[in-house]
Amino acid sequence: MWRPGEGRTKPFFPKGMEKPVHELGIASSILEIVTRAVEEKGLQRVTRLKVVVGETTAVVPDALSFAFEAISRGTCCEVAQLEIEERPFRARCRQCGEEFRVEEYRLICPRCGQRDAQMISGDELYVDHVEAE
Amino acid sequence: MEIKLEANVLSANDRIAQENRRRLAEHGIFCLNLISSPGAGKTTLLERTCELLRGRLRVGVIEGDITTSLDADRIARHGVPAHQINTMGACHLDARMVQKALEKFALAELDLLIIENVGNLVCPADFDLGEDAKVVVLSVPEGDDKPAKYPAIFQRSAVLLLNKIDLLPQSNFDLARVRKDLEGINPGLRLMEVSALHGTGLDQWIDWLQGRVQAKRKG
Repeated sequence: MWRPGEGRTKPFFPKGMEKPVHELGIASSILEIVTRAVEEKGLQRVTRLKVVVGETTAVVPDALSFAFEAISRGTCCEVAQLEIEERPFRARCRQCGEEFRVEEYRLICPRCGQRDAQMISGDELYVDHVEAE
Repeated sequence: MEIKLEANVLSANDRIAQENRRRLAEHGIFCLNLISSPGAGKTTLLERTCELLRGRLRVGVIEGDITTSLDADRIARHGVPAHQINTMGACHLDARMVQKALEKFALAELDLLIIENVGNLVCPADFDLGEDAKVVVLSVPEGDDKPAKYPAIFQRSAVLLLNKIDLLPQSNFDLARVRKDLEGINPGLRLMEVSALHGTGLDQWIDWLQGRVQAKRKG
């Protein structure tokens, strides 16, 4: 049984980041992934990196760029140019096979009118590649 | 030198979420991630749910809030094991917070674990906690345009609890519009009209929970 003052769970935050807003946490994960990859290859400095962000994720590209710039100071990504590719929400109709761009999250097939479609893109959130030296 | 990564940014979270899922499955526990904006009535709904399930299912509750233990206190008063997570500013729960919270429960003694997420219709949608299903709560005073404006969470949920339905006559909330919007966003979403405060419409919710718990137990 829970009692006041007992058993608080301290949240997990990346080092140096006590109160992340959403994109700050995401930016920090990206920095972690990139740093690990660069260190593994024995490289020092990232010049470019590309991140793919799907339309249905709660990640705002501008906020992510801003957060990444703020946390990458003094790291291997300090001078890195961050490219963010946005992927639109697309779906495939299970009835007629039509692939279509989903507007306003409406999963209605524009060809046959059925509401039986599956997302095929739009939920991506990954580091595609980095260029480092 | 170009290094191809294709590394999922949320992979650390997703990996822990899978561990949580496995751990809960070992005990046959059905787990819900309850999401809404602040003030939609999640905690009142949970209090009612705990009362109605008393003697029928063994329930545990994880409460997520930025600060205070007010919600866990409310749940604990109903004799249900409750654990408060304070995110200290973060706008959502993540799988690691839930993993730590699971250690506070005697999992062998639970049938149903409900995780009440931080009040927010946006960010929690992205973070898998290891739940079996997401349930979204929308209340009448918030307005009928919310599924259209915050579609991601409505698309990813199994049930929509439309709360404070007793206020419908006093409002301009258009239930037909909500139904129409949801047909496009998530035709499989179960809509249940309830008033947690007055206890109306909760039978179907309790039946749904019991059905899902039984199905989970059988594996």
